[in-house]
Amino acid sequence: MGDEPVDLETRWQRSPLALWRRTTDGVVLLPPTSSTPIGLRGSGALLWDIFDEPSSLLEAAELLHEVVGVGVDDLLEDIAPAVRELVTGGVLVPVA
Amino acid sequence: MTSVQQVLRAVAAHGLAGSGLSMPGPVDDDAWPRLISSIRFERLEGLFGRALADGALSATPEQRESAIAEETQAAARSVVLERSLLDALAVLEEASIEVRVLKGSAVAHLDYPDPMLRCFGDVDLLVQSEQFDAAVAVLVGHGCRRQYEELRRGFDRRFGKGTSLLDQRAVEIDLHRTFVAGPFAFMMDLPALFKTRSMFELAGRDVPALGREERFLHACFHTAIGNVAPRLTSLRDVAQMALFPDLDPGRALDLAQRWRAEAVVARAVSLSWERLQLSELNEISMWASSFVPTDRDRRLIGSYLTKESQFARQAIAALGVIPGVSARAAYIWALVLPRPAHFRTRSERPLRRIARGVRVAAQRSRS
Repeated sequence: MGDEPVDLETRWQRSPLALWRRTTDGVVLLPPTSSTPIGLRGSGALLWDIFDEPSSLLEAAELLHEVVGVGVDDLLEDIAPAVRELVTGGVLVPVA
Repeated sequence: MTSVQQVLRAVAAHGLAGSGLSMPGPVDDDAWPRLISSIRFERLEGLFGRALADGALSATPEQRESAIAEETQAAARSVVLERSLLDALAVLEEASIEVRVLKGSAVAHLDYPDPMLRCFGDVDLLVQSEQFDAAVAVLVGHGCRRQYEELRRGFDRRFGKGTSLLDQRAVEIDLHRTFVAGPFAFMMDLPALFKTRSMFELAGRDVPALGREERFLHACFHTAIGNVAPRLTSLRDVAQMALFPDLDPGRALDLAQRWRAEAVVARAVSLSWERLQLSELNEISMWASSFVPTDRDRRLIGSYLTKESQFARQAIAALGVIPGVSARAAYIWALVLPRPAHFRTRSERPLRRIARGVRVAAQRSRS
């Protein structure tokens, strides 16, 4: 994916090949092609819940807005890097 | 009982219906490292985190952070172990070797309301006796290293509990042929373990585990005779499964009877009910509370519970139940004359362990 930003419209979902486990304050993920677990807390963990169903970056921000009340534009700025990292790491995959 | 012990038992029982254990007051900072270390040993990180989140246990902000850190590490360990589990399962199934996942991940996904509550430290796989040697060869061929050489070629397949390997991630993979070593191994109907199965999903794959009642019996074996002092997680497993409404108590007790292991099940259930202070009565707990072991039961179980001469007592007890003269002869031969490769990986020769055990047993009977 390189350094390209995640666009607003492409829909993503959890990779079925990712292993993951919930913790008290978040989730721990193991990407399909890595031996290093990733920990997500707070809004990162909420993103993982959102992408249980196919969602675009914009849809994810709108859903988060309903939960946390922060403006959608501000949320897009916050979550875009996290979503990009999850995509790069292979734990989010595009919906066919 | 110390405050740390009280917390440990209350954590192990957290969420179980009918437990009379309540959380003691806050743990002071001096005792907190000991509590964390014990939580880690007992594999209670998930239940510990849940007890804190539910407000059942009070903690300072710093204590809470350290508890969350432990829980996160345990979760990270679990997913790495599950990756190794899936890799081992894939190569074994590709070689047409039938597998059942034991304990750990299987119990977490099948018997707990949320897998996060059940932490584990290794991978346990069960294969059929006639496929045991092939399974070891397949895993070694894919980069695993056997930790201990068997006594004589074919011993593990015929008489052993299993063997332990390390995969390329240094994850311990325990390959089992039966639930325990010693006399009870020879009374189990091992082929029957593969007539039923439960499935759970990991990373998009269907993973086979034992059937529900077989899983319960395995938990009982592990709790009652797997270690001299069972981990609290093991006690929780027995209670968790025994209280699950879908467990068929009649089928479980029938299996126990056919395997001549009723005393094992009774001991495991009684220990769990006593240590976790459970008041919930059901068919299994009421049966366990009224079960009276025979002298033979006590002798066989006793061979697992004395650390000092455990190997010797189990070997001697096993001789009484191994079917067939030639099989008993092969068993003794392997103990008397192990391959040199075996005692290069063990600290003591089996015969010396047996001789030492017999001397200890004789001294005890004279005193």
